[in-house]
Amino acid sequence: MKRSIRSARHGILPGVLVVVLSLVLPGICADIGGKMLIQKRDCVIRTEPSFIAAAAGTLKYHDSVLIREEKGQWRRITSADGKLSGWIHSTALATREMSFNDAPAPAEMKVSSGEVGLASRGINAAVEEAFRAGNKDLNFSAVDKMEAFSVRTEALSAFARTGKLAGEGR
Amino acid sequence: MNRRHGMMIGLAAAAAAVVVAGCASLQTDEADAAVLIKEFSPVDEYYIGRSVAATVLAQYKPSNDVALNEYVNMVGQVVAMASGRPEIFGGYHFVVLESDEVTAFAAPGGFVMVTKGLLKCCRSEDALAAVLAHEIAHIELRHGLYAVKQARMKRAFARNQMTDTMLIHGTRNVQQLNAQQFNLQMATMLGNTTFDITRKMIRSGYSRKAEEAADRSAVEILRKAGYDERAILDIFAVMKVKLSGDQRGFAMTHPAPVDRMEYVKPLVSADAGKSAPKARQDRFDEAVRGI
Repeated sequence: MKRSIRSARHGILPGVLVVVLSLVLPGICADIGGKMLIQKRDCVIRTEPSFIAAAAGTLKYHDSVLIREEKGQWRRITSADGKLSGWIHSTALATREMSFNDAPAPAEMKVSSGEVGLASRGINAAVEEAFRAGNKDLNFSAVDKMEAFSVRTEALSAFARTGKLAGEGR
Repeated sequence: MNRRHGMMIGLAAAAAAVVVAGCASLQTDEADAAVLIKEFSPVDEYYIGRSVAATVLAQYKPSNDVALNEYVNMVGQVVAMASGRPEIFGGYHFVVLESDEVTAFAAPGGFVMVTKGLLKCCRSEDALAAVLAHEIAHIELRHGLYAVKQARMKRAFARNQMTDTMLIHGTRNVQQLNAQQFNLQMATMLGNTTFDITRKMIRSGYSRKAEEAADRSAVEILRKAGYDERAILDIFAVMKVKLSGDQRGFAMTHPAPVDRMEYVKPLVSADAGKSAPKARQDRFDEAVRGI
C-alpha cells in the first residue's frame, strides 16, 4: 500500500511540475530558429537591440519572422522572405494568432476585404465605420489627429540623451 | 467539550467555509476574466481604444498647443519604452486636454490623454513621467478591457465561432448580406464595449487594487527609464492639496493621494541618487509655461 502511494506520488509530480512550469514561464517562448508573427501594424526593425537605434526596415501585422538570436527582451529576426534582418522587442511578437478574430479567413469567404474588413472577424475598420455611422457625436477626428503625430527616432534619441534617460526597453 | 462549544466550533467552521468559497468564486471570476481578455486580439484592442478615446475627446476638448503636445509625446515615448509592454499594435499616442480637472485617461490600444489640470500638478519632467507611467501601466495591465462586462464578452466571442459558417454559406450575394449584418452586429458590440469602459474610466474609476498595481508598475517604469521615482510621491503631495474639496476627476476615480503615498513610499528608494540634469528641468519649464 505504502509503496504504491509513493510511486503514485512520483508519477504525479513530474506532471504537476510541467503544468506549473508551463503556467509560470512567460507566454512568449522564443526558441532560436522558431517562427513568430508580428503583432504591430507597422513594425520598425532596428539595427541594434534598442528603440533609439536606426531602422533597418519595417514589417506588417502578421508577417512571419524567424528568431536568430535573443538578447534580454530583444530578438534578432529575419523576415520570411529573407530580405530583412534586425532587432525587435519581444512584445511585438507572438507565437501564433492571438485569437479566433485574428486567424486567417477561410478561402471560401467570397466577400471583398472591405465587407468584412481585411478578412478579420473581430473589430476592424469596417466595424468602426458602421459604429461611427450611428454615433456621429464622437470625436474620431481628434483620435486620427493623435495618431497622425509620430515621434522620429533621431528626435527621441536626442531627447533621451539630453535628459540623461535610459531610453531602452526592458 | 460540551455541546455548546461543539456548536460554536461548527458555526465558526461554516462561516470560514462561506468566506473561503466566496474568495474562491472571486478568484474564479478573475480567472474567467483573464481567459476572456485573451480573446481580444491586438486589432480588437486598438479599435476599442479608438472608440474609447473618441468618447473621451467628445467630452474633453483636446489642446491645440503643438509644442506642448510634442513634449508630452516625447516624455510618453521614453516612458513607454521602459514599460512592460513597449510595443503595442498602433503604438502609444498622447494628447493634452483643455480642462482644469485633475485627471487622465488611458484607453486600450495605447491612447493616453492628460488634462492641463493634471499637468499643473507636475513640478518636473520626472513628475510628468510618473503620471504617464501610471497611465501606460493601466494599458499594459489591460485594466480598460477588464471593465468590459464578462457576460457581454462571452456573448461576443461565442458569436464569433459561428462567423465563418455565416460568411461562407450561400451565394456571393448572400455572403455580402451576411457580411453587412455581421459588421452591424460587431458595431453594436463595439458600442457596448466602449460604453462599459468609458463609464468605468470617467465615472467610477478602476478598482483600488488596479490603481495600486498601476502605481507599483509606474515606480518600476520610472526607474527603468532613468527618471527619479521619488517624483511619484511629489505629485501625490501636490494632488493632496489640489484635490481636497474637489468632486471631479481623480478625486472621484482614484484612491486618496494620502493612501497612494502609503503604499508607494516603501517601494521608492530614500535616496535614488539621481539628480535631473538642468536640461531636463529647463525643457519642462519651457513646455508648461503659460498652461
